[in-house]
Amino acid sequence: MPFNVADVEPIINDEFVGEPNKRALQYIQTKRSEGMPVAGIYCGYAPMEVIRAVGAVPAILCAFANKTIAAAEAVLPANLCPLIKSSYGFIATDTCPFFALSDAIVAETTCDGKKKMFELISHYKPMFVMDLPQLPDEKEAEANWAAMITKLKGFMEETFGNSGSPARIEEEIKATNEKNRLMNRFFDYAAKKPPVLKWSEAYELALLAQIAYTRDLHPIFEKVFKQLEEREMKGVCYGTGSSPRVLVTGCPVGGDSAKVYKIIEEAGGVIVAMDACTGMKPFLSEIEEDTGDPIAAVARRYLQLPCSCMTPNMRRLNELDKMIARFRPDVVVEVVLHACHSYNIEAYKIMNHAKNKHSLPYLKIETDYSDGDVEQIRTRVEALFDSL
Amino acid sequence: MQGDVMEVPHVINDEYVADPVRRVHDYLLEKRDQGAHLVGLYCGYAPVELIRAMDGVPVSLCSSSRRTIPAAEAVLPANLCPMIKSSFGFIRTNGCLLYELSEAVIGETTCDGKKKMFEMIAHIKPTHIMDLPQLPDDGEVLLRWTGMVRKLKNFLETVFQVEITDDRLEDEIRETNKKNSLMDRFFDYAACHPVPVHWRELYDVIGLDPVTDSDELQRHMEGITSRLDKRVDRGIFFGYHDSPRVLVSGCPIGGDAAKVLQIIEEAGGVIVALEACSGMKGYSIRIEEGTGDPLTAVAEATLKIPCSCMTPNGRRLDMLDELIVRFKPDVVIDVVLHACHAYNMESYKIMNHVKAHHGLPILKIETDYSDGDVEQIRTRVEALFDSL
Repeated sequence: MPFNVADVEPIINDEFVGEPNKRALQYIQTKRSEGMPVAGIYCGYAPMEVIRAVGAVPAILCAFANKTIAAAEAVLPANLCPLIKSSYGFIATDTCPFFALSDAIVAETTCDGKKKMFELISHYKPMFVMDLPQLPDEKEAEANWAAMITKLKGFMEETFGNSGSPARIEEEIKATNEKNRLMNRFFDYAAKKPPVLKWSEAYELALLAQIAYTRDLHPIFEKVFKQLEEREMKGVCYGTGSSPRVLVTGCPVGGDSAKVYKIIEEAGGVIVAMDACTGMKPFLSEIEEDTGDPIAAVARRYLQLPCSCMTPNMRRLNELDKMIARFRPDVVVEVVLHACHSYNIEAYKIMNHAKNKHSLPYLKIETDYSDGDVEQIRTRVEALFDSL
Repeated sequence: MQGDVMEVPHVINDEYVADPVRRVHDYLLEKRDQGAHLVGLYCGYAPVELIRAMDGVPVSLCSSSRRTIPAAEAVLPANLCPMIKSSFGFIRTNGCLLYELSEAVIGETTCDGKKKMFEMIAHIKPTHIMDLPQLPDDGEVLLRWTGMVRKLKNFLETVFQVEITDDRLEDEIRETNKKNSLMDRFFDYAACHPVPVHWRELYDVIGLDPVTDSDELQRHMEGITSRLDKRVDRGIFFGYHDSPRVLVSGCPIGGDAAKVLQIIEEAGGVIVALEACSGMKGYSIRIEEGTGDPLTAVAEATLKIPCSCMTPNGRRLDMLDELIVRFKPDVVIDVVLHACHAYNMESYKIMNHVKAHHGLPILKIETDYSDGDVEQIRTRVEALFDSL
């Protein structure tokens, strides 16, 4: 599914078009050469504002390639989430440049597989595992999580030899909010009918925006918005007015599992919303400012992330409602990575919610990083679109 | 079975010996008729002393039959732990009398599968989910878990309109300790060489725990020990002098998963230690008495359970060391239920530990409740014994 005109300028027009990981790597290398420590992260629960407040740059560690899974399976069970196997395989084969650059690793007890995988890599680098509350609606959850964030801050201060004052965290809260507002202005172009933005562009900018300081993103945002306005003026759009609009929800999707996005596109769909940690999820909500207790504010906001590791995860349904209203999808496609129990079980609720509350067709795709199921997924996606 | 008699009476020589399930049912029905509240549980992290302190009865709910799995798979993914599927299937088919009798249910966030399964049953009965910390070595973990135990107390007091006093809780702590000591002493017979007690008898005696108080258990134990002493005197034992002694570790094993224990026996092994929650795990733990703060004492004791849901779970290695010294196994067999990521991944550590520290062969068996893999497991167990 191309744009309706030829030669549309890439949204971030640099030497890294189509290679967001290399762009991120260059950013982190530059920061590190300026003397900043690097905090490797695996998950959206890592409190970025605190990482930045101690003067570090976050690096999203490698987790999306099929090629490292075989090495991982020498130690890990085969029947495990590919994201976890891939992550471990990257470390076992020493092939993740982000891990190599990391001075410390921030981890969380989000799921059984990650929690136990972290044990197996804890000897490579200084690592801090955060005990994540799983019942976010209970009143003590926020205090418990804030205590963990304070501990993480202490760990980073000790490991990096920097200190992060409450004032610095407050600054970073404001910077995050500014970034999130800009990202949402950007995502609004995907909400247009037809969209002016392609999923891979949203994915690329989201990936950079997660790790980069807001101030470094300003020049990029300026160009991005200028281009998007030009596209609108020229009537450039992605897909056609009749292309099925797809909201993709579920597990993080990237690298080799982006095959699902490509298949949806090849089948004639336009992806207008990516409800995953690799997509729009990290940017959707803001952090309360000037509360006098910035760590509590950060804790509150991260506990609002509607990950399936939370129980009950009613916020995911609420967020889905908002996304459906905003991006107006014709179908919901849920991507569950193989053996990810929490997303897999929660899919039943999501299916009922999409069908009953929104009368939207829903398709669950359980997949991994291999390409063995590409044609099977294609058949199912095509059948879904045919049925519209 | 060796010795001078063919028919050896069961260690528990009473009317229920042929039907231990009926023992539980009769006990519960009798208690219910006396007005006691029945509270359903799925896991060893639920502090039973609180339930007993309100003169209630903790009930371990059905979870070990393959019969209910097809009904569960209409909602749950097939690639999930059979215990979770079986539990849910029992409820979905109204097939668990114990669940029907329970007036409330306690769950914990032990693993992804259970946590999300509980969401699907929470509307049926008053269901309380405890947010279990996952880092047992963290400085504040006891404070956090005590908070959760206090919330459970509030839940029970609210649902059942009772008061759980510190004095009653202290009584029940002493009860648990007495019973655990009695049970732990009984396990000494499994440490004998050769072994005078059969693994099914181990299970049957462990099965007395939920249906007795310490005096009743003491009376049972008097009969049991006298029968076992007689066996020892007469040279009655199971297997041969040179039968491989097997320590079984890993996931809870009962019902249809007990096929593994049966296979080990048929292959010529004698089971001398059952490490899992369904076996000996809980009975080595003592709750501190007379602290003046029984709630914290209970919380502290449950946190000592070396479940693979904890990270890092160093206590499991310590417990294995103790079991190996005490029961002198020739081999360790680690049983992992299909798709139980935590035990499956921890198995790698267990394997290395058992080999490196104890020089013992170890076999990991990944299985479910079906009988499709019986002959495959048999081949592997026989090969293991052949190699000794």
